[in-house]
Amino acid sequence: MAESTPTTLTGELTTPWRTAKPRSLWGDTARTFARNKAGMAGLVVACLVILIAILAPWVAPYDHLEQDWDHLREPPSAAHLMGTDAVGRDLLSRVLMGIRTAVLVAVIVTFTTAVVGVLVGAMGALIGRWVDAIVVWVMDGLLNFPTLWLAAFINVLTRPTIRRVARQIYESTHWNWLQDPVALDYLVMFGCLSFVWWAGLGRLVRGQVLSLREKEFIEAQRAIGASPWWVTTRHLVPNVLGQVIVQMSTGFGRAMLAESSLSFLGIGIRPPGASLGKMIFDGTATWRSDPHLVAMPGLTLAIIIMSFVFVGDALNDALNPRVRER
Amino acid sequence: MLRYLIRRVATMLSVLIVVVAFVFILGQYGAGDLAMHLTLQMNDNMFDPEIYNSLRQQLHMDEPVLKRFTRFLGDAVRGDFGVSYILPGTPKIGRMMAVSLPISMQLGAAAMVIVAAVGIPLGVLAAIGRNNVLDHLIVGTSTVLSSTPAFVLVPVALYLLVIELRILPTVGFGWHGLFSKETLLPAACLAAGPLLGVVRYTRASVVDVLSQEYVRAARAKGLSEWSVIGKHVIKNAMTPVLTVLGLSTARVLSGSIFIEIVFNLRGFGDMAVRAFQGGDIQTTAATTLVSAMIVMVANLVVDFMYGVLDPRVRVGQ
Repeated sequence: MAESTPTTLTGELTTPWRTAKPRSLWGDTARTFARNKAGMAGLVVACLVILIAILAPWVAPYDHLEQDWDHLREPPSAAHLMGTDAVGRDLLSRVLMGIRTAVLVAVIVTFTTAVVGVLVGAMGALIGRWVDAIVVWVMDGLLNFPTLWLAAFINVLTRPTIRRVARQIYESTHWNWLQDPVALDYLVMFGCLSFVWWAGLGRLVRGQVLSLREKEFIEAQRAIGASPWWVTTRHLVPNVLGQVIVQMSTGFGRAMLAESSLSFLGIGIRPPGASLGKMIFDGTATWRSDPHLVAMPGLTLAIIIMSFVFVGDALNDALNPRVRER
Repeated sequence: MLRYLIRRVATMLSVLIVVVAFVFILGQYGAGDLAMHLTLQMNDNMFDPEIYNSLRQQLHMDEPVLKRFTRFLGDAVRGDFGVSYILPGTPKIGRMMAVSLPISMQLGAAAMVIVAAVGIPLGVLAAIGRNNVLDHLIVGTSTVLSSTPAFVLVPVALYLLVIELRILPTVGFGWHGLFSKETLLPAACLAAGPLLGVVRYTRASVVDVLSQEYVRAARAKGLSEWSVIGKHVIKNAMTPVLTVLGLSTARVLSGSIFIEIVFNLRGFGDMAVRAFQGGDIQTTAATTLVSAMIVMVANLVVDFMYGVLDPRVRVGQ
């Protein structure tokens, strides 16, 4: 805007400055995100997935455990939109319940890893000295394992222990859910995935906090006498949060995939619990004669994972303007 | 160069000790008392202090922790991981690995070759035609391939390629050697997982190099576009791609679990899954440790090649 602002002789402004309305970081992020078509498509699917997870028992056309021996291995039809499985259960209802399982695991694991990762990473960076040394030591150790192998190892280790502890607690409290094998499968799953995954986020947060502490604007805050609490809540948290959110959104998809993968291997959520991975495993035995038993849960899983990848990418682009130009 | 290499190996060894310590602590203390478990197993679920104590001695469980750890570390380095107490005949875990690991290594190597041979050219193509149809097509296809879990991709690929399109002959399951026709499909499916990362990294790296001054200079002196890309861009863009190839090792390792199950290959992943399903803690610990070692060695190789390709890396620090 090269034109000079008209003023009266006394120098008062007659028209307001025509500057753009200031945009907040989040407003800017939302705007950039909305322009990314793949990201928006992913977001729609992701929201749908979460909605399904909440409403699955009510929107499922049949009971996911109900067997119908007159309709075994039927291909998709109007009555059974995804067909039926080897014991005549409605595949659509089972897929919906499987999504519910995966989302439940992903929600809990994502939040546990976020809380633990942020706390431990920030603790290492802010306290320093031997605390930091131990934090780095543990995280480096964890990050050198291929995640799925370590998760499976923890899974195999903790399963008997958790079963034993659950039995002991049951004997004194008589809470019925402690006798439910599916509930224990869930506990093992939450534990092993959280154990494996917090380190990635921890390292990210630690690095971010360490590099931010050296930045001039934090230095300036300290120089004008801001309290550590003010600096942390007003400057450190907002600057780290963006990266944490990106990690959480991709982590959510990865947790759903990991749940299905472990269930596929037979060490995750086991029957009667519903899991997409277990359904796919059962289907692979007969993929030639009944491809729908693999294809329906398989493609559902693939689409869900892909949508979370798109959302994560779009968020990453929106929150890191420097990468955006590429 | 030698100093750089020594420094890298020293770093790796320190991390190796941490990793071994993890597996040692989890394996020895994470699952309860092994001697107790074995006593109950041998003695019809009755506890017998005599058997228990002799077993403790046999397993060196009465020694101090540090001594046990050094023994564990020394044995692991020599490839001795003890025996499996779940499998009949308590076979030596090291010997089982000697049979299964070569199969997985060959399959994994084949997959890595495919990833590099397909991913890097595609990434370069996508970068050259930035934001055109070809770019979107390449990135889109590799996103679809990489996001599809291996255990979904294999049945779908089998159905499409073998039954519907009849491109490939009916696949023989089992291991037929590295250079047989039957190895192509499992290796290709295994390569699909890390493909997206390699395509993307190559693309970003090439785009980055294309905007450098020396590329402009090369164009200004009248080189054809292809010789600019061939001589100046690709060479300089390859170092970051190495990193992602190194990271792909972990994905290939995880992916091979599923590929081996679906194709019924008796490799390392298959051995691990049997151990997972049987609750065989000794074998699981050993396979987890070896998988971490493979990833660490792959990273070391990448760092070494980095040093060879980029003089700044070996001088720096």
